[in-house]
Amino acid sequence: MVQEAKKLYKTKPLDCWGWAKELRSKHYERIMHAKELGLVLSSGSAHSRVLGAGLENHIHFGGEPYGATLAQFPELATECVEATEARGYARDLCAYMRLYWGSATINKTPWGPFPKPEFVIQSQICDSHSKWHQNSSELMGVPFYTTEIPQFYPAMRPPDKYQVDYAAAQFADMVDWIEKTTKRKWNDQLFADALLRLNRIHVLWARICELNQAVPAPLDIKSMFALYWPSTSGDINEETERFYVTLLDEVRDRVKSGIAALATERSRVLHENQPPWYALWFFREMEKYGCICIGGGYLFFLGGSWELYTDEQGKPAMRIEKTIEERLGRPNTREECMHMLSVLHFGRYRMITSSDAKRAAAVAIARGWKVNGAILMNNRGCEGLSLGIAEARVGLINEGIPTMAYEANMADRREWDEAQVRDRLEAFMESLGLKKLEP
Amino acid sequence: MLDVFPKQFQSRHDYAREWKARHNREVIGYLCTYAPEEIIYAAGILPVRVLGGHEPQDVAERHIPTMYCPFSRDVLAQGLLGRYDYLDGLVDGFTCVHMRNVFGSWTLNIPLKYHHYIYTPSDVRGARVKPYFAVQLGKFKESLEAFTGKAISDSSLDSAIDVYNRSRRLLRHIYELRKAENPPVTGAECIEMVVSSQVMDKAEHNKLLEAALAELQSRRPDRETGIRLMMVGSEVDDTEFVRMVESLGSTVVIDDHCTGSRYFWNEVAPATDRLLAIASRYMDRPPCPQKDVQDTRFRFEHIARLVKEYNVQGALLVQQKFCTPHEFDIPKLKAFLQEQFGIPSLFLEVDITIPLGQFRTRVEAFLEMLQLQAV
Repeated sequence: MVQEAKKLYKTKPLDCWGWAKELRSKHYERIMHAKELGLVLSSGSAHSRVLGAGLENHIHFGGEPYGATLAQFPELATECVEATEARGYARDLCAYMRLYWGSATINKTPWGPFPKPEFVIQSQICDSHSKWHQNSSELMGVPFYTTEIPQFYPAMRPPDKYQVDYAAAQFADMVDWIEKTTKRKWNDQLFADALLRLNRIHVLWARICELNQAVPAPLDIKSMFALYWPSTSGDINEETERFYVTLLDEVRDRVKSGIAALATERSRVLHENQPPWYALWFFREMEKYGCICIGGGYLFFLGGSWELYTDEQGKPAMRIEKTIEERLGRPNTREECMHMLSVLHFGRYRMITSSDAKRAAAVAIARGWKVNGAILMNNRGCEGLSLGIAEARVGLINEGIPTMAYEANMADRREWDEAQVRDRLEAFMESLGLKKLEP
Repeated sequence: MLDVFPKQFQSRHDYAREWKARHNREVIGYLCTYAPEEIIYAAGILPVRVLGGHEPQDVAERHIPTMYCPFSRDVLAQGLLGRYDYLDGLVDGFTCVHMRNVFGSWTLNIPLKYHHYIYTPSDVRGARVKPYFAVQLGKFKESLEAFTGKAISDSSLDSAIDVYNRSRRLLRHIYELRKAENPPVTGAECIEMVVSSQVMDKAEHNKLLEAALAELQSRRPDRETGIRLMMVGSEVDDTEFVRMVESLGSTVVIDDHCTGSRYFWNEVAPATDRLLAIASRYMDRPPCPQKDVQDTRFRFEHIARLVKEYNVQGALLVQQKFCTPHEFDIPKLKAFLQEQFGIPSLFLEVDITIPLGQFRTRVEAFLEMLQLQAV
């Protein structure tokens, strides 16, 4: 059954789209040529990239974004995960990690040989992080230092001071280790600049996400996955910040002028968890029904700075945090820098590593972004971010919001059952009262 | 005498209910062996480890998808099915994402008077870790005091430490007997002693251990030892499986898992700062793979010592399906055992129910290979 595709809103491509792509290309270009460019190359998780920012000419090769990128190169990705499995590692381990290890093992990336880092640094926010890079360090024969961000429960409340102090002290120890290991001087002012800039970028991204509350939504999730990349994984520099300032202006203009991401928007859903990176068409498929996906907790929190709270009606709600500089002022000493870093880490990651916060965030987004339904991915490739997904679903159901769950793997396409996911999506769209629109 | 341990374990829920009525005190469940039981015990509360039921269930999926370890899902199912309806509270001594998931779902869906989450650091060898963990234990102690309305005195902590150390010492004595050429105790019997200790009042369990130790010292095994095996892995309380292994011409002479030696191996060294002493014990214990995260691994050193001391000939690497921490270590451990000691290993991935027939074939083939090697 199809229905006439009546265009309800004006639409036009994003001006900033190309710039987002360019930022990513430039980032990988610099990583691949780090040696010739005289850059200090570290590796570890993407969120650990700020840990090395006190070094002059530093660049960080983040494992997760690389895994997500590699997942889009089918043949190489398969070769990489199989190389890891041939070394005896289980297929259900983190898919980004298996791609990263495999790529290092066979010394191949989509752009040339694997860029061996000078050292590996890590702040653990999920069980897999430290074990991932313990093994990376052994595999590549490079030094490794790990720190950890304590998790707590319930995550809806702020951390205790002793927890923040513990993480800050570990970060300070890590700086000593970096100086000793690389025989380079750490520049506290450089680090403070990067930290404040990264936080401003996270606030800008949150503002952009907030604008998607508008009806019609100015952005669709597929585009947002490209737009959020610099905030979660890219270089922390002036150009990245400028990109987000410009993007915010553009999205504001779209809202003001009623420019939609989807001209036929009739229904809105949220998506929780990472997407299947190799099958982003999934989000275009729902658009054929006039359904726009406006984002979700993973997309909003990973690159954005939010506060989750309970409103006067006793319901979960979200608001954008002030910048850390507005809250704490500029850090002047290393101790203040590390304290600030610790506060920021706790603030962002507790939202995505706890069932109570995951459930609350899903409900808050459903209310704030006015969704008619929710799609949740049980991600076999990431146990860390799938934690609490089922509880988020229960929370949404309790609020009367229709949900659809599907099982997939964000970066290992061998676990993608396209026919089944397509069937589920079609059934879900129909259950929302939507019919496929004429092309 | 040793029959008492499996009976105690099987009737653990009745025991806890009876204990609660007898003492008119609370019972608190804990999810991982990194939970500092001494402090709960010092508060006059019975700590019991929440374990699975090894029964098929269909209640956990709504809260934890099938991609998480079956043990964690089984544990939550036990709660949802009301098997632990006598619990007054729940504590998690964080180890992995799977059990954190259980804690989150339990607290969101099963009414409790008390719950507390302890973030046991992953980097247990970190320079700052012991004082940090001691502060967390202090917060935990305060929360228990608020819950019971009674202060936990130093003397209560000392008594609890004594009782727990006594349990650890007795189990170490029993494990020492397994070094003998013909061990008087089997691997299955040892697991039964350890898991029953996790669900009983330690003071009462210690009396059972004392009697068992006395009996074992004069026990003459009525079976051949056969191949001396080590069992390494995640939570393993399926003694039917271990009995099957030991019925095929082998004896599990030592283990490294949390329903075995990892649970009790080291004691709290008494000190004026009780909480720091307890914190040190948990940081220094033989680690779960999740707690061995630095570039210099130390878990394998401990396993190497066990291999030598217990004259191990082969290793069973037994892992709960989807157990991420163990999945990280197993390829390296397998290579380590082979390269350092020439010890072959057999990897077995287990679920809440075990296909004994299939596993029997695999274990038989493994043991045959070891027997030929021994000749």
